[in-house]
Amino acid sequence: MQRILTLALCCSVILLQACKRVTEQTLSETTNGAFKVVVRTQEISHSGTRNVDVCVANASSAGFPDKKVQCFLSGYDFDGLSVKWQGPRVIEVSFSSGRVSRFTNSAFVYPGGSVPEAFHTLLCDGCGSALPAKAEGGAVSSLQ
Amino acid sequence: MQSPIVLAGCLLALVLTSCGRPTEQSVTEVKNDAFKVDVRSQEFHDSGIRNVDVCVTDINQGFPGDKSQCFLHGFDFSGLSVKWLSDRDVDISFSCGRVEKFSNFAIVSKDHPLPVEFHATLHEACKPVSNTASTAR
Repeated sequence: MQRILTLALCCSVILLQACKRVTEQTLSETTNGAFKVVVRTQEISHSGTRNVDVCVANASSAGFPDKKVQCFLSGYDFDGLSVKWQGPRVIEVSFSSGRVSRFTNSAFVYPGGSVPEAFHTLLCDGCGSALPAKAEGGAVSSLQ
Repeated sequence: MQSPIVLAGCLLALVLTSCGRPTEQSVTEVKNDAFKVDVRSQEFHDSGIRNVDVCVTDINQGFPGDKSQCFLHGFDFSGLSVKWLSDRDVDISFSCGRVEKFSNFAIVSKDHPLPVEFHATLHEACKPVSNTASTAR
Protein backbone atom coordinates (compact mmCIF):
# COMPACT_ATOMS: atom_id res chain seq x y z
CA MET A 1 0.00 0.00 0.00
CA GLN A 2 2.85 2.34 0.96
CA ARG A 3 4.66 1.64 -2.33
CA ILE A 4 1.57 2.49 -4.36
CA LEU A 5 1.19 5.75 -2.48
CA THR A 6 4.87 6.62 -3.02
CA LEU A 7 4.55 5.78 -6.73
CA ALA A 8 1.40 7.90 -7.04
CA LEU A 9 3.12 10.78 -5.29
CA CYS A 10 6.17 10.55 -7.59
CA CYS A 11 3.90 10.47 -10.67
CA SER A 12 2.01 13.54 -9.39
CA VAL A 13 5.27 15.44 -8.87
CA ILE A 14 6.44 14.56 -12.41
CA LEU A 15 3.07 15.57 -13.86
CA LEU A 16 3.04 18.85 -11.95
CA GLN A 17 6.56 19.62 -13.10
CA ALA A 18 5.59 18.88 -16.71
CA CYS A 19 2.55 21.15 -16.40
CA LYS A 20 4.62 24.01 -15.02
CA ARG A 21 6.33 24.95 -18.25
CA VAL A 22 7.07 28.33 -19.74
CA THR A 23 4.63 28.81 -22.59
CA GLU A 24 5.88 32.27 -23.54
CA GLN A 25 9.08 34.13 -22.82
CA THR A 26 10.57 37.43 -23.94
CA LEU A 27 13.86 39.07 -23.01
CA SER A 28 14.60 42.74 -23.58
CA GLU A 29 17.87 44.49 -22.86
CA THR A 30 18.86 48.10 -22.10
CA THR A 31 22.60 48.51 -22.47
CA ASN A 32 24.66 51.26 -20.86
CA GLY A 33 28.43 50.95 -21.36
CA ALA A 34 29.75 47.68 -19.96
CA PHE A 35 26.45 46.75 -18.31
CA LYS A 36 22.88 46.08 -19.29
CA VAL A 37 19.49 45.65 -17.67
CA VAL A 38 17.65 42.53 -18.75
CA VAL A 39 13.85 42.36 -18.47
CA ARG A 40 12.41 38.86 -18.70
CA THR A 41 8.69 38.25 -19.15
CA GLN A 42 7.39 34.73 -18.72
CA GLU A 43 3.99 33.15 -18.93
CA ILE A 44 3.66 29.76 -17.26
CA SER A 45 1.22 27.17 -18.60
CA HIS A 46 -0.90 29.72 -20.53
CA SER A 47 -1.98 31.16 -17.17
CA GLY A 48 -2.47 34.64 -18.57
CA THR A 49 -0.23 36.01 -15.82
CA ARG A 50 3.00 37.62 -17.02
CA ASN A 51 5.81 37.15 -14.52
CA VAL A 52 8.49 39.80 -14.86
CA ASP A 53 12.07 39.72 -13.56
CA VAL A 54 14.48 42.64 -13.94
CA CYS A 55 18.23 42.10 -13.47
CA VAL A 56 21.51 43.82 -14.26
CA ALA A 57 24.34 41.99 -16.03
CA ASN A 58 27.56 42.42 -17.96
CA ALA A 59 26.78 43.72 -21.45
CA SER A 60 28.78 40.86 -22.95
CA SER A 61 26.95 38.11 -21.06
CA ALA A 62 24.41 35.95 -22.85
CA GLY A 63 21.05 34.87 -21.53
CA PHE A 64 19.32 35.78 -18.31
CA PRO A 65 21.45 36.25 -15.14
CA ASP A 66 21.42 33.28 -12.79
CA LYS A 67 22.69 35.07 -9.65
CA LYS A 68 19.99 36.46 -7.36
CA VAL A 69 22.11 39.48 -6.33
CA GLN A 70 21.91 40.72 -9.92
CA CYS A 71 18.12 40.92 -9.81
CA PHE A 72 16.20 43.74 -8.17
CA LEU A 73 12.60 43.38 -9.27
CA SER A 74 10.13 40.51 -9.48
CA GLY A 75 6.46 40.95 -10.13
CA TYR A 76 3.66 40.32 -12.54
CA ASP A 77 1.05 41.87 -14.79
CA PHE A 78 2.84 45.16 -15.36
CA ASP A 79 1.53 47.86 -17.64
CA GLY A 80 3.84 50.46 -19.13
CA LEU A 81 6.98 48.93 -17.64
CA SER A 82 9.98 51.04 -18.56
CA VAL A 83 13.67 50.78 -17.66
CA LYS A 84 15.92 53.84 -17.78
CA TRP A 85 19.59 54.35 -16.93
CA GLN A 86 19.76 57.54 -14.84
CA GLY A 87 23.53 57.32 -14.49
CA PRO A 88 26.36 54.81 -14.92
CA ARG A 89 25.24 52.99 -11.76
CA VAL A 90 21.66 54.19 -11.29
CA ILE A 91 18.68 52.43 -12.85
CA GLU A 92 15.05 53.52 -12.71
CA VAL A 93 12.16 51.16 -13.31
CA SER A 94 8.76 52.74 -13.80
CA PHE A 95 5.33 51.32 -14.54
CA SER A 96 1.75 52.53 -14.57
CA SER A 97 0.28 49.48 -12.82
CA GLY A 98 1.40 46.05 -11.73
CA ARG A 99 2.19 43.84 -8.79
CA VAL A 100 5.64 44.05 -7.22
CA SER A 101 6.42 40.83 -5.36
CA ARG A 102 10.00 41.73 -4.56
CA PHE A 103 12.01 44.90 -5.08
CA THR A 104 15.40 45.75 -3.67
CA ASN A 105 17.11 49.10 -4.24
CA SER A 106 20.54 47.63 -4.91
CA ALA A 107 21.99 44.99 -7.22
CA PHE A 108 25.47 43.64 -7.77
CA VAL A 109 27.43 42.36 -10.74
CA TYR A 110 30.80 40.61 -10.57
CA PRO A 111 32.38 41.76 -13.82
CA GLY A 112 35.15 39.18 -13.86
CA GLY A 113 36.71 39.13 -10.43
CA SER A 114 35.91 39.17 -6.76
CA VAL A 115 35.15 42.91 -6.62
CA PRO A 116 31.47 43.58 -7.24
CA GLU A 117 30.00 46.56 -9.05
CA ALA A 118 27.06 47.98 -7.11
CA PHE A 119 24.01 49.49 -8.78
CA HIS A 120 21.38 51.66 -7.20
CA THR A 121 17.83 51.10 -8.34
CA LEU A 122 14.73 53.25 -8.08
CA LEU A 123 11.11 52.26 -8.42
CA CYS A 124 8.38 54.51 -9.74
CA ASP A 125 4.90 53.04 -9.34
CA GLY A 126 2.25 54.86 -11.37
CA CYS A 127 4.85 56.65 -13.50
CA GLY A 128 4.90 54.62 -16.70
CA SER A 129 2.68 55.09 -19.71
CA ALA A 130 0.03 52.39 -20.12
CA LEU A 131 1.93 50.59 -22.85
CA PRO A 132 3.63 47.20 -22.99
CA ALA A 133 7.10 46.73 -21.49
CA LYS A 134 9.57 49.26 -22.83
CA ALA A 135 13.27 49.87 -22.31
CA GLU A 136 14.93 53.26 -22.60
CA GLY A 137 18.28 54.94 -22.28
CA GLY A 138 20.45 52.52 -24.21
CA ALA A 139 20.57 49.90 -26.90
CA VAL A 140 17.50 47.70 -26.74
CA SER A 141 17.18 44.25 -28.16
CA SER A 142 14.42 41.72 -27.79
CA LEU A 143 14.87 37.98 -27.85
CA GLN A 144 12.17 35.38 -28.00
CA MET B 1 28.10 10.88 28.44
CA GLN B 2 24.85 11.64 26.66
CA SER B 3 23.50 13.86 29.47
CA PRO B 4 26.36 16.43 29.38
CA ILE B 5 25.98 16.68 25.57
CA VAL B 6 22.24 17.28 25.88
CA LEU B 7 22.86 19.86 28.61
CA ALA B 8 25.52 21.60 26.49
CA GLY B 9 23.11 21.58 23.54
CA CYS B 10 20.35 23.15 25.63
CA LEU B 11 22.70 25.83 26.99
CA LEU B 12 23.93 26.61 23.48
CA ALA B 13 20.34 26.89 22.25
CA LEU B 14 19.54 29.25 25.14
CA VAL B 15 22.60 31.39 24.43
CA LEU B 16 21.80 31.54 20.71
CA THR B 17 18.16 32.40 21.41
CA SER B 18 19.13 35.25 23.75
CA CYS B 19 21.63 36.51 21.15
CA GLY B 20 18.81 36.73 18.59
CA ARG B 21 16.85 39.22 20.70
CA PRO B 22 16.95 42.85 19.66
CA THR B 23 18.95 45.15 21.92
CA GLU B 24 16.71 48.03 20.91
CA GLN B 25 13.25 48.06 19.42
CA SER B 26 10.63 50.66 18.65
CA VAL B 27 7.26 50.42 16.91
CA THR B 28 5.52 53.47 15.46
CA GLU B 29 1.87 53.25 14.49
CA VAL B 30 0.29 55.23 11.68
CA LYS B 31 -3.45 54.76 12.08
CA ASN B 32 -6.27 55.05 9.58
CA ASP B 33 -9.77 53.97 10.73
CA ALA B 34 -9.79 50.22 11.36
CA PHE B 35 -6.24 49.65 10.16
CA LYS B 36 -2.76 50.90 10.96
CA VAL B 37 0.70 50.70 9.52
CA ASP B 38 3.33 49.55 12.00
CA VAL B 39 6.90 50.72 11.47
CA ARG B 40 9.20 48.53 13.53
CA SER B 41 12.84 49.43 14.02
CA GLN B 42 15.16 46.87 15.59
CA GLU B 43 18.83 46.82 16.47
CA PHE B 44 20.61 43.55 17.24
CA HIS B 45 23.77 43.13 19.36
CA ASP B 46 24.27 46.91 19.53
CA SER B 47 25.39 46.61 15.92
CA GLY B 48 24.39 50.14 15.00
CA ILE B 49 22.32 48.74 12.14
CA ARG B 50 18.60 49.51 12.33
CA ASN B 51 16.44 46.87 10.70
CA VAL B 52 13.11 48.27 9.64
CA ASP B 53 9.86 46.46 8.82
CA VAL B 54 6.72 48.20 7.59
CA CYS B 55 3.52 46.18 7.83
CA VAL B 56 -0.23 46.76 7.85
CA THR B 57 -2.53 45.29 10.46
CA ASP B 58 -5.81 45.72 12.32
CA ILE B 59 -5.80 48.65 14.70
CA ASN B 60 -6.22 46.43 17.78
CA GLN B 61 -3.42 44.00 16.87
CA GLY B 62 0.30 43.98 17.66
CA PHE B 63 3.06 43.81 15.09
CA PRO B 64 1.99 41.19 12.54
CA GLY B 65 3.79 37.87 12.24
CA ASP B 66 2.33 37.15 8.82
CA LYS B 67 4.76 38.28 6.12
CA SER B 68 1.96 38.84 3.61
CA GLN B 69 0.96 41.87 5.73
CA CYS B 70 4.34 43.53 5.18
CA PHE B 71 5.36 46.02 2.49
CA LEU B 72 8.95 46.76 3.33
CA HIS B 73 12.00 45.26 4.96
CA GLY B 74 15.30 47.10 4.98
CA PHE B 75 17.85 48.84 7.14
CA ASP B 76 19.52 52.14 7.98
CA PHE B 77 16.78 54.40 6.71
CA SER B 78 16.86 58.12 7.15
CA GLY B 79 13.83 60.32 6.70
CA LEU B 80 11.47 57.35 6.70
CA SER B 81 7.87 58.51 6.50
CA VAL B 82 4.60 56.58 6.18
CA LYS B 83 1.40 58.28 5.05
CA TRP B 84 -2.09 57.04 4.27
CA LEU B 85 -3.17 58.31 0.85
CA SER B 86 -6.63 56.72 1.05
CA ASP B 87 -8.40 53.86 2.84
CA ARG B 88 -6.30 51.24 1.05
CA ASP B 89 -3.29 53.21 -0.20
CA VAL B 90 -0.11 53.84 1.73
CA ASP B 91 2.85 55.99 0.76
CA ILE B 92 6.29 55.08 2.09
CA SER B 93 9.08 57.55 1.51
CA PHE B 94 12.65 57.90 2.70
CA SER B 95 15.72 59.87 1.80
CA CYS B 96 18.39 57.16 2.11
CA GLY B 97 18.45 53.52 3.12
CA ARG B 98 18.70 49.94 1.93
CA VAL B 99 15.55 48.24 0.71
CA GLU B 100 15.97 44.49 1.03
CA LYS B 101 12.41 43.60 0.11
CA PHE B 102 9.55 45.78 -0.98
CA SER B 103 6.17 44.59 -2.18
CA ASN B 104 3.57 47.08 -3.43
CA PHE B 105 0.70 45.09 -1.96
CA ALA B 106 -0.10 43.55 1.41
CA ILE B 107 -3.06 41.52 2.59
CA VAL B 108 -4.78 41.41 5.96
CA SER B 109 -6.86 38.25 6.23
CA LYS B 110 -6.81 37.27 9.91
CA ASP B 111 -10.23 37.80 11.56
CA HIS B 112 -11.71 38.99 8.26
CA PRO B 113 -14.25 36.98 6.25
CA LEU B 114 -12.63 38.34 3.08
CA PRO B 115 -8.99 39.40 2.78
CA VAL B 116 -8.40 43.16 2.69
CA GLU B 117 -5.76 44.30 0.23
CA PHE B 118 -3.61 47.39 0.56
CA HIS B 119 -1.41 49.09 -2.01
CA ALA B 120 1.85 50.87 -1.25
CA THR B 121 4.03 53.23 -3.24
CA LEU B 122 7.71 53.66 -2.46
CA HIS B 123 9.53 56.95 -2.88
CA GLU B 124 13.23 57.38 -2.46
CA ALA B 125 14.30 61.01 -2.30
CA CYS B 126 17.78 62.47 -2.33
CA LYS B 127 17.33 65.26 0.18
CA PRO B 128 17.91 64.25 3.82
CA VAL B 129 15.01 64.72 6.24
CA SER B 130 14.47 63.76 9.88
CA ASN B 131 13.92 60.07 10.72
CA THR B 132 10.22 60.02 11.62
CA ALA B 133 7.08 58.07 10.90
CA SER B 134 4.41 60.71 10.52
CA THR B 135 0.73 60.19 11.23
CA ALA B 136 -1.62 61.15 8.48
CA ARG B 137 -5.33 61.96 8.68
